[in-house]
Amino acid sequence: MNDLSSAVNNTADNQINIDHVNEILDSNKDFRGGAIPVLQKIQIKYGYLPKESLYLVSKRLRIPLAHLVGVASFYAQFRMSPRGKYMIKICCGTACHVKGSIKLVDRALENLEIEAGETSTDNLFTVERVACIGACSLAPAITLNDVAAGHLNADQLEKIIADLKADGLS
Amino acid sequence: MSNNNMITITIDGTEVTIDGGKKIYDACIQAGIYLPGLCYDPKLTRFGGCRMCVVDVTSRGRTRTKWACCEPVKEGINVSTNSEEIRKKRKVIMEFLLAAHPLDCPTCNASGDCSLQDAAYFVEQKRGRIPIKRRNEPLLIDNPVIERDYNKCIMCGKCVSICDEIQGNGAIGFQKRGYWTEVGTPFRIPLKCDFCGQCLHVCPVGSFQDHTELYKGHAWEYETTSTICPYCSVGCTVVANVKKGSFVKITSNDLIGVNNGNLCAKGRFGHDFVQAESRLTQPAVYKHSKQEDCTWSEILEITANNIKKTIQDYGPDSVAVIASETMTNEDAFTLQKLFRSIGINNLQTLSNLNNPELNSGIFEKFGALAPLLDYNELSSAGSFFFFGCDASKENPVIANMVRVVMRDKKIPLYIANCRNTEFTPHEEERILYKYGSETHLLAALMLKLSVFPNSEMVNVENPFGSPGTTPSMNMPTAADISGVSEEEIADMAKGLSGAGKPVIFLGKEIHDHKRSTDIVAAATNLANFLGGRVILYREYCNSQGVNDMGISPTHLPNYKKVQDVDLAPAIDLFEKMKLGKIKTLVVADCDPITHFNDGKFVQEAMSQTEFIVALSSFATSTTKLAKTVFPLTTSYERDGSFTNNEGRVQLIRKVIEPIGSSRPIWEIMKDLGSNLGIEMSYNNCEDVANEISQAVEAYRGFSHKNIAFGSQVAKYKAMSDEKHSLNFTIKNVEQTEQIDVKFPITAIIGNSLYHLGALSRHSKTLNNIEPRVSVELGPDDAKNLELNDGDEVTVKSKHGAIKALLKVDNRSPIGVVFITKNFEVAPALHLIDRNDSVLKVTIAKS
Ligand code: SF4
Ligand code: SF4
Ligand code: SF4
Ligand code: FES
Ligand code: FES
Repeated sequence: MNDLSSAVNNTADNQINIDHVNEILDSNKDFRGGAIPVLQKIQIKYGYLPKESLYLVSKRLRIPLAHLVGVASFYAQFRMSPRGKYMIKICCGTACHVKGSIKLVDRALENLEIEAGETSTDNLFTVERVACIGACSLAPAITLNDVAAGHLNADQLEKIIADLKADGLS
Repeated sequence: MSNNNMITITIDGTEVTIDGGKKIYDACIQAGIYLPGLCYDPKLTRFGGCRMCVVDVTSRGRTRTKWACCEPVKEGINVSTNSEEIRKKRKVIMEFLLAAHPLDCPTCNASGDCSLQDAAYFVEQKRGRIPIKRRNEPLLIDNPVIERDYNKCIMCGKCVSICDEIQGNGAIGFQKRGYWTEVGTPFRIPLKCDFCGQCLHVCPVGSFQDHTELYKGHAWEYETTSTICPYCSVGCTVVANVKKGSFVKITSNDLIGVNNGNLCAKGRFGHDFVQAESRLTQPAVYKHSKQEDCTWSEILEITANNIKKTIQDYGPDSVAVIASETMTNEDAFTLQKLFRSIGINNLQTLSNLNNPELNSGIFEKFGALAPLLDYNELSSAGSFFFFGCDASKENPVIANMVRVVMRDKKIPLYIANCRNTEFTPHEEERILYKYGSETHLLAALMLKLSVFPNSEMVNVENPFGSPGTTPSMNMPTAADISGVSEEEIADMAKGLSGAGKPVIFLGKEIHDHKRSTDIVAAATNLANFLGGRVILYREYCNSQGVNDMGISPTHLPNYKKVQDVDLAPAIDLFEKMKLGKIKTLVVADCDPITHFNDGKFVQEAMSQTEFIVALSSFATSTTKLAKTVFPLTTSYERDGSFTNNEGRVQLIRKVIEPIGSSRPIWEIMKDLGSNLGIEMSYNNCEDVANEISQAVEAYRGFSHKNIAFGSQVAKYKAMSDEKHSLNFTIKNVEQTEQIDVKFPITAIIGNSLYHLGALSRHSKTLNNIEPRVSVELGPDDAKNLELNDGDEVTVKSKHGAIKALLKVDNRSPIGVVFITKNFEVAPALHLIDRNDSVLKVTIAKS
């Protein structure tokens, strides 16, 4: 707890407007214990939990940062990095696995030079592995910003990514 | 929580009678039955994660498998710890544990001191069925003392608990989940915390390691000796680990001493001053315009001749002694005995010089040097009230004790301070007052506590006196003076009176305060009204003992008054020196130039003294001025005793041979005595101890053989208790608030967590943690002054200037800064003008 503020300075990402976090915390004034509702609101606002928001929540709610980040990194619902414009979720459920979803994952990650769960440097794509999305008949299936697509092979997925990239850059 | 009924259970056929609040695991420990549990620690909240403590519990004819660390004992139950079934279960659990463990034993520092090794061996686990899958996390060496290897972590959670519950830091936690869980810092940022090392003390494996120990030895190679920490006044027991005569590390033992295994950074890591390069190893005398090494007989003769001649020519008042509060009792006793027997009574400590009125004032009030309290009595407090006290930095292990009592007994904590000092990482009841308003704030609390229920006024001088008479004050005035709102004061008063019996801790800030005597009086009134106690802890490991031994111009051993000596003299020793009235000055084990207010003045004064005799373990600003320099052993190279905060007299033990030809003070006094015609017939330190037990009433029965003496508290308590119900009058109710447009910021100088006195600066490890003096400034002030964290700044007072490192943090409110002392390169105390009551400064980029 010794050096929170200096840590905030060191990690400040100037593009983020932290004021919303303060607003969220202000509107949760009466709240005691359990940071989860606050984190949820922050995630709705920013799409993920910006690092500096966690420093701020830790300081204002007086929850040690190590414990707060522990909570945030424990629950799958929380994202610790910004979401790309396009969220590609690749199903790795049993049916899709059998139909070779791993190849889709590998190709997408290779193409975007990221790890699963990360966002590409141009902030366009986030790729996640997910469990069965209930579209087994389309296996291997993906969702692109919550729209499902299926029967894909790696080349087709790569094409989709390339097209979106062209779009996003124009 | 314990309920005090004792019950009897049977473990593996043996009957055990135990407190009904305990768990089966405790009963096993009590009965000496080993369980291979890995996550249980009696001093931490139960975690129940490792499952290695499985036992069978038979109750009313039914047998169930239970975790011994979580299962309460119940009358008549029958526990089996080693049945075929249990052995099988443990083996399976161990198989899983080892499948994820790197088994690095040949290169692991924990080898030989590892609960996983012990447990695996105990359950006779050879190769399991599951292939070993180790994580390949990098070794994290991101701070000077604690090295982390996440691969070895068995997720017992003990480090997380101790860091949060006992250390109040919460620097580490469980990150991520599942197989990828790691116990460490958020986002893997470098560890920056109290560096108490409590985590590595509890870590059952080699995941958290003492980085300073690396490759220096294994557990089975060390010779271990328990002795007492040479830093602060808590009096923690440290265990010195020595390999082939060289000091390797300090560990701690939960079962020995007052500290329950807790230590702070200084105690655990600050031991390497012992082998520091700055150690003095040979006696030296000043000749041919420099200091030259000499023999012991030469230095003794030269020093004795000088003292004799000075007394002859100028009388005994021209000789003075300044002694540290880190000397042993035996040293202090012989020192005063020798000098008093040649007619020299001007014996001082820096604390007494700094605040003669406080020392004499407390003596008058409490009959001993301090109001003392057995640490065990902390658990019967109704509440804790830290007033101007930053316990987590000043007496870290006291803070540990208080957190434990708060956790176990749900005792509330109140904090009033002029800075936002931390105590726990969680929500706290606190008020922030303006420096200088202490007595008024305390009077306002008394007003709210309704000493006179119908009065809206309180008499600040005497809150038990009639409220209408001057100087009286009402709530709006109190709020105005203290900067604390009426509601906040009222809330705190309500809390304090609801909980009752507060233990009020007054800190270093109060100790150094120009009006400390009055604040102590005001706080004592409050405590008395609520049936509580006031505590003012001294700074050093033997502050209590050195005063008990009579290192004071006003008191002989056992606080016998010296006739015809002013309690608070009009002109102090340094002023006398400045006037050339002190011809010979003996400085024993301290460095007034760095460690006393207005060091510049001190230095000038000391340069007026013809002959300085320095006794010191290290080269310091003072030894440079000396005509004779005696090399001293440190506390790790000799036997002796220290008396702690409680008045507990504890033995220190020699753990290594003296460095060079250094010697302890009592030996030097004995030989100096022979040269001065005073025979002291001690053959060893023990002989001195025996004499102390005769001469000092509170130390009756004390001897180096009587180890049990340290388990009791010296008996001055009787003296203090009877005076405890008195009410005190505040002598000076004037406001100390000074507005100085040129120097607008109030500065408070104190000890950081990592440095204390003259020792710590000679520890490489502590210097690595904190290499230099820093100023803590609040974010708002930083913004106004256009300063950033990490800037090089110059701090100026009207008296002096120092360069420092700027730390921007929330501890400092607007208009207040905190500056760390003890750094001889930029001694913060040089900023202080000895005539001013409050230090005012400016801060600018250098
Ligand atoms: S050294 Fe102390 S403060 Fe730092 S992580 Fe370990 S237990 Fe916590
Ligand atoms: S680092 Fe050590 S103490 Fe902490 S959880 Fe891991 S094994 Fe336990
Ligand atoms: S709290 Fe004091 S006595 Fe205990 S280890 Fe720290 S400095 Fe030493
Ligand atoms: S397994 Fe992929 S949609 Fe069900
Ligand atoms: S010791 Fe009981 S579960 Fe770990």
